[in-house]
Amino acid sequence: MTATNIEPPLAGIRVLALSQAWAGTLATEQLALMGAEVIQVESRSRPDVWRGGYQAPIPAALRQLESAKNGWNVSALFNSVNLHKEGVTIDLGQPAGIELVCSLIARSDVVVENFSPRVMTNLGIGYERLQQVRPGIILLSMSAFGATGPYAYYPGIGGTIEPVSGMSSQLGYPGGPPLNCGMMFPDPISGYFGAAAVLMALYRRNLTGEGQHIDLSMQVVCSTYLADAIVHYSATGEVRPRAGNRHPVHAPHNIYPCRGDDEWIAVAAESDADFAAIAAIAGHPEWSNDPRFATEPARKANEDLLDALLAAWTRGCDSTSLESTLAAANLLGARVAKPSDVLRDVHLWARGVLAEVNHPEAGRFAVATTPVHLPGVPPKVVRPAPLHGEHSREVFARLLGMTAEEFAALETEGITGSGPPE
Amino acid sequence: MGPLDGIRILELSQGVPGPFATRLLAGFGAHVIKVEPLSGDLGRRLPPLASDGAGGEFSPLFLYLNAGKHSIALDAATAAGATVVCRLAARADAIVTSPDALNPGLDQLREAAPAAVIASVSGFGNTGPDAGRRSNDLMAYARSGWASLTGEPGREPLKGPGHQASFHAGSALVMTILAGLLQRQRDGVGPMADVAMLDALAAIGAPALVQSQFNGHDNTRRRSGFPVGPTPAADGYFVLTTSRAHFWRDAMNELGLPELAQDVRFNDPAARQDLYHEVAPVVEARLAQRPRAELFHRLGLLRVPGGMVVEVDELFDDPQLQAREFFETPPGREAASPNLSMPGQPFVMSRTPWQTPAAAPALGEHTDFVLEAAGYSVAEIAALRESGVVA
Repeated sequence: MTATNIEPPLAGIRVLALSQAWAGTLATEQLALMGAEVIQVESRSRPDVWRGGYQAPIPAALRQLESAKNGWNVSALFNSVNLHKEGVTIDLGQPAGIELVCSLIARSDVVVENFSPRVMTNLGIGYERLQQVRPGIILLSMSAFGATGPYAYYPGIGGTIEPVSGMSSQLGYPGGPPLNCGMMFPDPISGYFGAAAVLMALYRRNLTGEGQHIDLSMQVVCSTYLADAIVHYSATGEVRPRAGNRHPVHAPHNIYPCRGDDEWIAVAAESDADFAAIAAIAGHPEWSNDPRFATEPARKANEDLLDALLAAWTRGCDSTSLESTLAAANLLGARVAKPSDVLRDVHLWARGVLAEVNHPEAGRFAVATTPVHLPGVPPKVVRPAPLHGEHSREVFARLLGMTAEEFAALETEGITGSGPPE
Repeated sequence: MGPLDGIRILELSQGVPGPFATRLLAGFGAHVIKVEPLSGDLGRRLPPLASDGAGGEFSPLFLYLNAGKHSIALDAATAAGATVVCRLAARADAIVTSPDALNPGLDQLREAAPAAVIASVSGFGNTGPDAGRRSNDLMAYARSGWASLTGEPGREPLKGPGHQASFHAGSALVMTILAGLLQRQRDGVGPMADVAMLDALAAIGAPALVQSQFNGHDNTRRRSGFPVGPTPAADGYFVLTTSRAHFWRDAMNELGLPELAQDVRFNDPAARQDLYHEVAPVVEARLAQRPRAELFHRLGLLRVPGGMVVEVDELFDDPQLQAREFFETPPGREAASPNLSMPGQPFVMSRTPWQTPAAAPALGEHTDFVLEAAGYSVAEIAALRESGVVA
């Protein structure tokens, strides 16, 4: 079997995504990029919240595009994390909608949902029912705090789970208050753990034929990412203070200002040799003999002064050239990239982490795909996120044998269709 | 019984990302053999070190990352050592290595283990113009775009705390290994894969990348918006989210600000973001009077997401984490490795649950065991020890 004709890992697997926003949505997107057929289910009355609602404005850079007519189809957020999926609409608030979704579940391997813990059961599609509809079904339930425990019914979003997991308490400037990161880290890391859980359940089912129910708490995933702070406290009784960019033992280890507006460079020395090389590049070889900086403990003890000296140097530097100089010398240096810089990162394009999609309403744009690189992953041609209800008719016809008349009747009842309900 | 019972993983990588990944897989049943240099995984000295109360030091992080694994110490730089590794590789379903683990290289491993999943993990990956470049968490945050969005406007951008970037590389490695095992299960042959920390962080910056193109400008570090804060509460800090109209309305009523709850200017999400600074002092003065937990529970009952900032020591008393059985203490080896409380099961699988693994191994603790299982005779093992190939 040559590399070119190996099927992707999840070829032949079908996933029904009853998720919205980011975490469960990302988990299912990763499964799609690994070759699964992923059907994203929304409704007419409640499009995915990341579409921005039916009143969503057309984003500024798309306004001159003829095709960009419907704000809910050209939302940046929705289009960034729903790659390579089919989109259908089903009104789960009506019995006919539940019947329809059960027909799809009967032909699916995996269901992923991120409702509040009671909702699936209240809708009549809890795990017990799903097992009857499709023996061997794998159900992944993702929620802010998990389906059990005193906080189970409390809602959460990435920006509130971050503080409750302990993450915010560890992020901030030395001596400063706790901060949230800039883009809701809890969501995507939970998404990757969710995808991993499904992969394990599939592996196991291939051996035994049995599915299972996975209950994932985003708070738990985030607290797991604090493992180092947790074991440090357990071993020493010390809560590590917020340290900005600093490292427990290495110095320098920080982000320094460069020439220009909001230009910065990350620089770190992991040894005395590293520091001596940086000092030479800075034009101050004498720093490495200075008793205040000659050893790592000395550099840590004098870190404020060291950072000030380095910043005085880097302020006069161009961040891109300085990164090249440091990298060429096998030193740790990286310009702080803004999103528009990341979009131009040739290394990421070469590795397939960035790809271009062609969207029927938003046109061509770049997307971030996956860090998983396997035969067929990511796919050679990455499909854009679906339009609202884009694939309803095709999917129902293909999987359920639904006729055009039957579909039209469901559309009239508002059970399916595209765009705002009448 | 875990989902990965019977899976054998050979770990040749050191430090954080590889060990984090295989630690998670071990908790779900995989048998992980850790090949360490004679001087031990560099991770055994991952700072900050703690004192063991007997004059020595250890790395608590190492003990977390390597719970549940077997350790063999060997000198892979020698031909004999590389041969041992290849023999272990031949018995593995998956092999985790890195560019630093020079010997045996990927070609040799593939020859020894033609059907295994072989995953290499590193900062920048093994392909692309910057393949092989030195990296660490700070560099990954800078290059991936995440640092530019984190921190206060006008001040230096911030990396995420601790080793989160390396853990996230491990998470990408977990997905890769599992998907590779599925391919192997189906085809009889596992793939080679190249996992990069930069890829893992950059990929999850997806929303900002598309926003940049659709909006025509980059997102930047922001002082306020959704959520509000962290902002001072009576006994710590709190994050309020106002991303939906009813969150704003119910939170303002809860804070005793009905006029703000009913102010129609705040119905529109964009306006809530733009106008918040006008009312911030009033809102935050009310927040500053409320104890975190009390406000968190009140808002939770109102179905408003609330974010009390919990400190690391407070996590141990968090009733939700306790109910989820989050903390565990791997048993065993009390004399050499203190019984630490550490993160346990990352999610609940109903049929094939997580099992608390045994404590992290001492260096070379299972050398004999591993070699015997691989078919080496007692005499062969003795010879390997005598010649200094294994310890």
